Amino acid sequence: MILIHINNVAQSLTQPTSLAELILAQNIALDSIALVLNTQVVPRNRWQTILCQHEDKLELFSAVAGG
Amino acid sequence: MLKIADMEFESRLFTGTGKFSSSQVMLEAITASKSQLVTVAMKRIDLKTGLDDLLTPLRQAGVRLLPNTSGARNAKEAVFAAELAREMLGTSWIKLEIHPDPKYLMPDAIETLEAAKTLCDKGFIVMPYVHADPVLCRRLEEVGCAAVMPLASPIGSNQGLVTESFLKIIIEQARVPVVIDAGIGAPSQAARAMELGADAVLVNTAIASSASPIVMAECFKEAVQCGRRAFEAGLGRVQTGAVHTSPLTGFLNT
Repeated sequence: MILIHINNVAQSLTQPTSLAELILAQNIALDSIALVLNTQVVPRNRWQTILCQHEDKLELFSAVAGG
Repeated sequence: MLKIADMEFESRLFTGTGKFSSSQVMLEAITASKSQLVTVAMKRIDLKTGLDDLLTPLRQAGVRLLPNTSGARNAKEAVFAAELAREMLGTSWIKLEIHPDPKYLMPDAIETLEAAKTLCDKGFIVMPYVHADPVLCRRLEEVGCAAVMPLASPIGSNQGLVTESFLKIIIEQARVPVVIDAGIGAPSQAARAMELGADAVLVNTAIASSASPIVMAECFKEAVQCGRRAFEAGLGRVQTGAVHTSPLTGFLNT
């Protein structure tokens, strides 16, 4: 069992899961967000190949209205 | 035509996307404003409420996005926010804003200069939001900022050009575009900023909080165009005394 945190919400994974698969499982479009893995911004082109590891901390950000 | 970095803009009115009553109103107001550069902020997604899709309609509208670093309290957080924005939106343009004080949202000059230097070195197109400080604007220009964005008055205050005297100095000295940001509350104030020689203005609250945002967006568009034309035409000199415009002799007496 792999335990991870997405935006401070704990989630357990039963099988190897890439960052891209994880995001899509949240019903979030890949082209609309930025991803931070353990305090590092991860380029989009690496989301398919990086697999979630136990105790990973992910943060997802989106664009919102602002001035 | 206005040029910032390698981009040319027909419109000298930049707009924000905050405080609109709905996405539809925001989109219609931006369209009415003819703005080509539109600011967005970034936020950690709340997985419970889901994602509000702001980007798709803005991309469809064909406007260029200018992400900001709002929420950053120091240079380190601002650089992080800029890197997030570049990854998310595929743009290296960034409106750098660091205002740790939640009451007046005054920009932190020291952190802003430090972040600007780092971001310019990393290849970002940096547009810093700053107080109307001519010395700081020169320093930001020297570290490579593509434009400077001095405030007219506190963000969202609608107080207008409180800093006018200093904006004049900044405009006189600047070798990069000057975009007057924050506090412009009426089209007449935007026109005045343009008459002073500002290269552009950024307006958000005054449009979004109007009872008719779409009409107000059009008014700002026209005011900015009018102010720019007046600047290009050249304003007359301000004089202390009266100078007659009609002949004072030769009517009653020959």
